[in-house]
Amino acid sequence: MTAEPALLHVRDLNVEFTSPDGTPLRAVRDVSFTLRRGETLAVVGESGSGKSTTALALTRMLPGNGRIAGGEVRLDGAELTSAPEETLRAVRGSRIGMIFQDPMTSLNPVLTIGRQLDEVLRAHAPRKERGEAGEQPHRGDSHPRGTERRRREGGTTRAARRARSVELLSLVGIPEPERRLDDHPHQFSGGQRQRILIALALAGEPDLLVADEPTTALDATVQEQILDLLADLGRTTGVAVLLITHNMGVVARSCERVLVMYGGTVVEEGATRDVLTRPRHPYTAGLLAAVPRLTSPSGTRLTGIPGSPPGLELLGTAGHRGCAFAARCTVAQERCRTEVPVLVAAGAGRVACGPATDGTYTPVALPEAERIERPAPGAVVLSADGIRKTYRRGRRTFTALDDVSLTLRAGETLGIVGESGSGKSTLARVLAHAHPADAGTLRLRGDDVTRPRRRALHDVRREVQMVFQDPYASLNPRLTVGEIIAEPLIAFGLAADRDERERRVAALLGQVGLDPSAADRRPRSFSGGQRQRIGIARALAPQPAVLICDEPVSALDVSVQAQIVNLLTDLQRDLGLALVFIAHDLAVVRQVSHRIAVMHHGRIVETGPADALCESPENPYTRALLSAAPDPAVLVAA
Amino acid sequence: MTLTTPTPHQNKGRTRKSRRSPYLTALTTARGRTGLLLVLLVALAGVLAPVLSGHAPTDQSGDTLLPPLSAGHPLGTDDLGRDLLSRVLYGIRADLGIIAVAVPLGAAAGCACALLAAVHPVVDTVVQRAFDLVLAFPGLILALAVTAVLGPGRTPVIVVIAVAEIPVFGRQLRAGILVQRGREYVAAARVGGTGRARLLTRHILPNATDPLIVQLAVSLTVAVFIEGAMSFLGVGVRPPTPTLGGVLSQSMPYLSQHPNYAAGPLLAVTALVLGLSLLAEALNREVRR
Repeated sequence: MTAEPALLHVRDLNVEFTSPDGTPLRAVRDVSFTLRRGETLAVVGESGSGKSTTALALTRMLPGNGRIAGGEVRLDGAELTSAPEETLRAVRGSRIGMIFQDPMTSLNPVLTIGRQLDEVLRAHAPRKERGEAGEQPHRGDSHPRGTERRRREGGTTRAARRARSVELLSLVGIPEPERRLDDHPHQFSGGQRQRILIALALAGEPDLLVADEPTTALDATVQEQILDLLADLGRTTGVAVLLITHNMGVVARSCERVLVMYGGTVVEEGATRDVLTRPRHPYTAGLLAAVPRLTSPSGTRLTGIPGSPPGLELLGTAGHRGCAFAARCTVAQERCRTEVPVLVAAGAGRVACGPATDGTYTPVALPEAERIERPAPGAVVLSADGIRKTYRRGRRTFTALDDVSLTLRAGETLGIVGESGSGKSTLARVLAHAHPADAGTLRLRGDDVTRPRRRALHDVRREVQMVFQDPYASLNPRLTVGEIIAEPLIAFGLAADRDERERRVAALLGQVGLDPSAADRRPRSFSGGQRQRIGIARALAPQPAVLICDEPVSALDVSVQAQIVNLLTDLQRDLGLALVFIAHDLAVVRQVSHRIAVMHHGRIVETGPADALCESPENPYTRALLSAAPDPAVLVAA
Repeated sequence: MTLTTPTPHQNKGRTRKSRRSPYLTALTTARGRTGLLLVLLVALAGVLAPVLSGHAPTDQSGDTLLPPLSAGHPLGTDDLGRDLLSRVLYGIRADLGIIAVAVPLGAAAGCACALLAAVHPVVDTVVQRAFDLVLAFPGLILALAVTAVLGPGRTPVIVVIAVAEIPVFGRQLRAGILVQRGREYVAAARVGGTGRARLLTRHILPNATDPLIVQLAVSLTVAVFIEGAMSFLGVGVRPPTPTLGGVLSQSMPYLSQHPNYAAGPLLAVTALVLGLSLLAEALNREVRR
């Protein structure tokens, strides 16, 4: 094994995109790494770090306006960046398999799984023969026996291909593969679909599997299974895995080595255990500290990295100088802003940071979580009793909320956790009166507001505001930020004239940590974290008593997540808000919430004080959720 | 602590640039420029018709069917001795006058219907079925029916074009409204207390207009054809007033001996339609970005 040269060798890879106005933007600069057979390498980074672009560049699958501007990609010594398209087509699928993020849209819904596997087998088998042995395909030839021969058979007869399909499905852990082969994608769960996609990627018997955020769209319990599967595949079939992720927990769980990317460059590389326990680069250290830990008790502050990840335009070729991370780095020195750091060997790995290399910076151990002073919750503001909500599609009904009861006190945070489809978003919308409840009662300060009249609804809405999940979709792209925040002021008649409105908007922007000049710009010129701040300012505009936050941080990078969560807790302390904090990440929920309610299939299965619930869960489902949460610290320590 | 972490606002120049309207950007592409140039050329010819031609379009001279480049008649004369250049130029003028009124009229009426339909599901059904009814008639049948009632002339042409465009714009906008209604920012505005009328006019409508602008350019093209077809069939603007379709229709009997007779109106229609189509395509590409 050791004598064998690396399977994949990437050197000084550069990728450029052409922006609409014609200037080239460098998304990936001087990325180098190697990957051996059977090895799993994680590429971790936040949005815009160039991790997905790097993966696409391996097989030259970049979108139309992207091109490889330099460097080389060698697969078993064969150079791919300059290879003809024909060669690359042979490489894609049969040498390098790809798995994408969304298992829901990556399978053709009208074809059975069997058909889809069959197609891939048919497409790859003949080409593989040609590529491997350099001989003409022998179709209809006598079939020699043995496993090596069985592979080739895969491309010849329908029965053989079917047998191979069954084999692949059982390899990825689909129960009763023979029967399931004739099922359509909608008959499988999300996790199973991701398994099928992995089977499709394996059908060409690739040497390298590139998995781009394969578990991001999946629930924690399913994510765990998929990661185990990927790790197993490496061991059993000898396929090398390049796993692209933003999640440090995923890295800890499944990969031997990790490559940390920031702003299009590799900032650190090393064995997972080393990087996760002794990060050398300040960014890696910051990223690790930002991952919420299940062990952090309720009422502590999340750690984050100030600022937001750089956009592509910032990294344009000409004006770029110094370390990409310098602007957010707390230990940046003068030279960090002028010299581009070089990736040099450090210990067993590599790091690109001047101060870290010459020893003027040593990362500190994980800081102890800082406690927040928060007043005790006051009187009950909002209560729900026996809420029910069913959706009807044709004749079938789907119960989204089944007898849900909860209370919320002033100044209190109620965390609601659950996986996708558990009804948490429906609950948020029912509480915010965006959808009516079918049964049950909602009380606001003791008054029944389940089905308010129009006038009363207006008053209820003023008291109960909502922060949405997607900071990109929840802001009207046509309005300026000032207009967006002023909307509730106008709707509720809260500002007498234009001047007062502008004053209030400026004050609200200040409250959420944005410059008042932001009012004149449109949402698109803000980053995700900043947009979420705008969403919070809008929700605060009518001075509500209750703020319902539906997954407010799940669309944000982990280093930015802390800023938003801490902003919410600070606002709660200052304004005495009652918060409903909905999320799928138990670790975040524990830190911000006084109490937690766990939802499963539209019901609240367990509820209790945050720390107690996380430390001694009673419901088996809660226990499953807790154990599935990928936590880098726990795993590396184990 | 978190309240003091405003991120620096970088790249102001870039932001300003990207905020430019996609319509303007579309007009600066090669496709958009060519389209605009063609349309402007034809429009200018129509507007400046009295200046460009020395004859009134209905003035008859003794010389019939003169070839092009004859003295005083650059495009020659028609079968009644009328100057072809001036007939084509005034024809363009008449055409532009019709489509510039009819298409916006149809668009406005269509959008009004779509907005009405957005108010209540019952209204929606009624409006949708009314659209189906209009669409069920081919354009020319509609033209004949309207002319049968109103008699030939300028007004019926305008009415036919407008009526034909109502369901096109109505459906387009209705689809846009339905899409935008499902967006999260609409839910956010609703939770923020915004009323229904304001929700529709301030939030949904501006976000649903992009396809309408493209449709406007497409519909102008269609309108040129409808006008041409109606005049060609003799149910449009009454002779001797020249329109592009009318001149073309009159040239038909002489097509083999005097092809230049038909060349003028054909060229004008082609340039106008090509220009509008290029504009529509340029807008479409930029809007969909």
